[in-house]
Amino acid sequence: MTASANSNNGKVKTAVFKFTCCAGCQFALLYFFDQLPETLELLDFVYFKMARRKELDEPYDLALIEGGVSTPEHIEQLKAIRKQAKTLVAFGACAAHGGVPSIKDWQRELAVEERVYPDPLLINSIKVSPVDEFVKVDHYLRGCPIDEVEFMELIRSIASDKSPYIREHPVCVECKLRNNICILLMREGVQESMCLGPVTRAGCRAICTSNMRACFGCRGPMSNPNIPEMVRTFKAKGFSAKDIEMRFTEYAGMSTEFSEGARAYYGRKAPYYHRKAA
Amino acid sequence: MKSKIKALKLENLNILIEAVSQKYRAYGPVAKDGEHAFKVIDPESKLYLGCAATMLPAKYILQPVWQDLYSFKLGNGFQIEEPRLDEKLAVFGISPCDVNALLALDRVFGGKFADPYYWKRRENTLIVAANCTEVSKESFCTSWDTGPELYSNYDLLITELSDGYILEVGSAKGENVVAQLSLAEATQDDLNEKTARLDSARANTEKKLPVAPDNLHQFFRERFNHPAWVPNSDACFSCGNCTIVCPTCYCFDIRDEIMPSRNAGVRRSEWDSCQLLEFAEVGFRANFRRPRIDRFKHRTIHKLSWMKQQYGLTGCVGCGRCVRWCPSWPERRGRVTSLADPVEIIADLMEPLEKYKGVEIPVREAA
Repeated sequence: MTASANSNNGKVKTAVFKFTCCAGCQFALLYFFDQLPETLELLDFVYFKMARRKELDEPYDLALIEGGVSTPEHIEQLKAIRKQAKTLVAFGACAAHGGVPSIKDWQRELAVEERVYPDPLLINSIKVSPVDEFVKVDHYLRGCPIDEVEFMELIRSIASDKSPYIREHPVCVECKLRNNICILLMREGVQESMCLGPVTRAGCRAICTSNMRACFGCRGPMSNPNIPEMVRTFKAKGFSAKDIEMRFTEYAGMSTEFSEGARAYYGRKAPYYHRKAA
Repeated sequence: MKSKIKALKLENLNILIEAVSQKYRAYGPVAKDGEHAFKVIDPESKLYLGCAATMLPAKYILQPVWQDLYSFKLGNGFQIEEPRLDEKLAVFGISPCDVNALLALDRVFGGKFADPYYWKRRENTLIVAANCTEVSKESFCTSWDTGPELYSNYDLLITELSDGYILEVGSAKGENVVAQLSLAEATQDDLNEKTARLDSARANTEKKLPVAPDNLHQFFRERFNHPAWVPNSDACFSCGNCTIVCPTCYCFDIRDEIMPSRNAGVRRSEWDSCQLLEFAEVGFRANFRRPRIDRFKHRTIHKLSWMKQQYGLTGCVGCGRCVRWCPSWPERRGRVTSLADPVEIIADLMEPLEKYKGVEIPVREAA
């Protein structure tokens, strides 16, 4: 299929859907209209609730799924979208790895609901899952929020029907290439030095570490992360097990690799739904 | 290169920077986030002429991290536009190990398949080297004789003294720069002080390669399947830091960036690292070096032995950058320095086999 085979005068018919998330990635997309007008010219938005009032026009070439799945209804909606979409993209950290909402997955569902709602019996929520738990995902745009350059590369690739270059190596590579001082080594003992860079996937242009902030792992695990060594390094630096668990579950705790790092805290008391990967 | 050694006395560096900046775009090691990095400098800049002072070596000025090779356009046929690389560059405060590393890069990028981008920059670059009057605890340049003193291959060479600097001229290019400065000849006392300072730097270098450089090839052949590789590579992040900060690493990747119009684009190179999983990946995601241990071994042995076989110059100059910037936490394993330290890896490989009882290593054939 070439670009011209796409339905709307060579443009890619695109629909944007939101599940459980903060909508920040959609917001980033709105911002790209200003920053990357030429790239967004390649897309024809048939459904984009944040930007325009327009009813869904099915089928579409590209579905950008933002947010994780957190109710049974979401699963049905997601599968319906998958049926209509030629290409499905997990758009942002929540869709790719569960993201911030998935922090609650490490506690009992009832405990979470009781904290927020007066009557949990009215709430019908499940553990937050990444999109690929239920449907096949063609491409991932990771990060909280998504990165401008990676988005540009993906859209141009989809429009030209080629496979995109999505980085698989760790943030350390992009950070060192930018001549940054290593915060994991240099800032000893303080919270800021708890950098997940050596195990987190690059593509963010090392935006946090370039500004002397530790990597929070929002882009999830790299191609073959050495999680046990990362945990041992944090322990050797004097961080508590709870600190380590919080760092690994912050954005991508639902990925097999990072949940392994988080389990270092729970040990054998890990919630049952995280034992499968052990 | 044959030239008369001419030693001059320099009161302060800023006069020299000023003279150089008139003709060249000057880079030098200046402060950055509590460390040092090569940046464009001006006569007011405060240079740091220490041992392996910067994290990224000076090679990134000659072989940039990102480099536009050419831009292309479809239209009337296929049009290509190459960048002009005629800018004159000067690198200040480049340490002797880095100059030796550039000689290794000259072999890699030279020869039968010379890299024109590298050579254009190399020929336009003025090397203002600086001898190391102290050697950092990570460095072991004396084992390779790549430091702390530089003997040749510079345009200008600075050595710090108690009351100023000695400036030695190593080429006609360097001569042109100092001609306009009307500097006095260095006295015999100055030269004696220089020798004394460098001798003490040499004597203070505690770190040594446990194996003589000539025996390294045989050493690694014999220990290619030594079990000590296993605990070492198990602790490796494969993050690529050791290769990115290495002054002799030269691998890069080339990709095309397509413009939204889809009839034009840029072909761009970016540094790559053999420690990354996707480095040796080919079609259908087959991979020559999938296990971490293979990648770990590759870096160590290529630096210390194979590069000498391939290019005649060793791939390690003992600058100690990999030791310094490896993020693995050394204290954990009771080691003195970090995981990437070649000296420590060699020491581990010299341990008796009984120490690694029960460690299984996937057997490979030595090159």
